[in-house]
Amino acid sequence: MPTSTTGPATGLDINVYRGDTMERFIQIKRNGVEEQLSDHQFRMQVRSASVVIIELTTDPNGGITFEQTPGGVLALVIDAAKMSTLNPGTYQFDMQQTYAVTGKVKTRFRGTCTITDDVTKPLS
Amino acid sequence: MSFTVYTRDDDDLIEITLSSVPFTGSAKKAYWGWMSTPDMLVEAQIVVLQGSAEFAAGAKVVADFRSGNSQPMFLYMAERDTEPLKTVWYATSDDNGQIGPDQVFSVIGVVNGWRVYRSKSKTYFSTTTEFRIS
Repeated sequence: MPTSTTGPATGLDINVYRGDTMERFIQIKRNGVEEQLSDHQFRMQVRSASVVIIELTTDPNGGITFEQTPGGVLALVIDAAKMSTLNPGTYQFDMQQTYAVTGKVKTRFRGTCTITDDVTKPLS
Repeated sequence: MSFTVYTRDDDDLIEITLSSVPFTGSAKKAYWGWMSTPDMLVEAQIVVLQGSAEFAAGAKVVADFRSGNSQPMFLYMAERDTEPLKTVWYATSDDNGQIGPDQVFSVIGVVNGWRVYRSKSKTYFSTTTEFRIS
């Protein structure tokens, strides 16, 4: 079991297909118990160096919602129209959590986001 | 498909799992509403969304079709297409028999990850309707 001892968890890589709806679900457990996520704010940017490719947040229509579980699973969604505008490539991303009561900010995990080019393009 | 990575926060072991499908045991979600055209896939959107709910498997949901349903319309419901195709839609007696064995919802397609069910004919609902997803 590879365990990062400093900073965010690493190696949480996302592979998506350009033009397809992206939908991923993230659950965090602490010592085996599901963490309460739905009280807090989350923000995620996918970047190519200094260029932001896409940003997801828990703001209304921000692309991050909470699935109803005891802790609240993070649901990340990018619709197909937006996905069709992204250039294929391999990018970096991480996810910041802002704690509700204390305002503390912590980056929970990071990884690469690989977008594979599609063949069938949207109708023009 | 899912995979898990680990880290430590002080002395706590943090386990983070990323999945391409909803987690087993997580609540199901359904939408309901009505539309004036029989072909929602052409419209590629839900025409009028009346409500949505998340609930545990086997729970009952009450959909209120009364508001805005002033003339007979096709009714639709939608659930994630990652759910097994075993959804049971049924109605209680207060729908005047308009949903039942002869008026079941059938799958008409998938839109943006949602499996869409549509009533077989246009109906007018003057009451609330209860349904259950298994």
